[in-house]
Amino acid sequence: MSPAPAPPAPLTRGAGAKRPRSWVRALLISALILLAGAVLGAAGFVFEQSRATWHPQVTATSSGWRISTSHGLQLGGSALGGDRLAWEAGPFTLLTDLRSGKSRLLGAASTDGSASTPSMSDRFVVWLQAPAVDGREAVVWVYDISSRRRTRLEDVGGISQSPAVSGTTAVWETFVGTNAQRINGVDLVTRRRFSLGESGGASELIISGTLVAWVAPRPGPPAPPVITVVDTANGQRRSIAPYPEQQDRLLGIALAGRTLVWARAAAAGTTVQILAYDLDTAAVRTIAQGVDLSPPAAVGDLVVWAQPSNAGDTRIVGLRLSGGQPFTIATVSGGSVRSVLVSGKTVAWHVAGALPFDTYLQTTRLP
Amino acid sequence: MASWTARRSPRLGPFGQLVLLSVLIELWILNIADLLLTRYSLWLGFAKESNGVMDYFFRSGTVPTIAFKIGIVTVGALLLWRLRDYSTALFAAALLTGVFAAVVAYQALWVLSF
Repeated sequence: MSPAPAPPAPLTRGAGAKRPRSWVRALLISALILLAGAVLGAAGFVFEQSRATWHPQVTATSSGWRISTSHGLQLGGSALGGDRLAWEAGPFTLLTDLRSGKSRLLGAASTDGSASTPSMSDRFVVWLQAPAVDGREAVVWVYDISSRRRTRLEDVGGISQSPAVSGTTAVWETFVGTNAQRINGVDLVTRRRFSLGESGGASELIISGTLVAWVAPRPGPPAPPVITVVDTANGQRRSIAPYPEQQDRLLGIALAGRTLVWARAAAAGTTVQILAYDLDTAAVRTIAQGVDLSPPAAVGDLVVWAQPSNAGDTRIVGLRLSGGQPFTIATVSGGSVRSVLVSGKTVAWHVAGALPFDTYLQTTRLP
Repeated sequence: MASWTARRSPRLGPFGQLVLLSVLIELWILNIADLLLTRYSLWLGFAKESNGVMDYFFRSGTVPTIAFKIGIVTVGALLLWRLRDYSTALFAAALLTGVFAAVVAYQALWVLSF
């Protein structure tokens, strides 16, 4: 006789069934710890952003955008590149997308430092950042819009002129020793560096295509400044005297294709002349003359400037060097237009109001 | 001594050890996320490593950075797992994971805001 088979064990909720539930509870608890930390980090980020003083006030207008600073920051120089505007506000360098109105902080000098007027092309923004008052550690920065990457281009060792960029080529002035300055450049894609020689202490530096131009005082006895234009494609270099009288003032230069444009203010009175110098034929002509004209800006064959009208407002005027009459792009009532910018089909102007911080940038599209 | 340890750090039961294990796995993953986000932020040129030790390794190269960062957290996690009988291990792991989660969330939002 064989023993009776053992009765089957009763069904129980054994360890095998309990374990998954314990795991789920353990995972839930650990997820809660993770969530608590993440919420804390997000709160810190939001708090930090709310305390940031660089956020600009960007409002849409019927023709474009109106951009001003907040927290009492002083609006400085600006640059246009395609559908973007790079601008300086106190120690900050900012980039505003003119399609969305969103702004991005590109750089911040320390509290006692300063940022230069930026320069930009469709892809790159360059600017000079000086952390100290004496600028001994001034650095040229470049921001690549396509990769969103910022890189340090060069330590220039002194306060020098704002760097400039066109296409993929950037140029800047750097100190050689204590008294000499040189214009250096780089192709930002191939990283090939070049030098354009001594600058003589540029007060303005611009680049358009392969042409680089800067304004520098003449060595020796007091004399009007000289504009040097170098073609980086063939190394051709020429010097241009913008006016003969020492007392006159050079307000600004621009390159419209292969034409150099500058504004000259007479020593006496407020009359300003805008002249165009054809670099190929050496022909010079006056394209505008009036009271309190702003320095010109140019793109392609289009030259743009601001011109006060008899009605008391200011007109933003454009002229195509290839031919045609000056045309009004916009009318600004109230405030004075300090500078104008143009790139592609976008025009911008910087308006200064009666109060020091009552300034703004306005953009519009060319028809 | 044993009574002191028990009083200071009560024993952790099987369930507490499960929580510790999942928290340590989270910590390890967050450490990788922190490494990747820091590396990317440094590459963007807008961030600066404020931890002097990590700054040294980031300057030394990618491989030493990965080895140090993953190595030290792995060793730390294994040590905490070895002390899994004590609730202090769970507290320490939870605190570390919370801090890492805060740092990673901050960095992720910072990168996304660009």
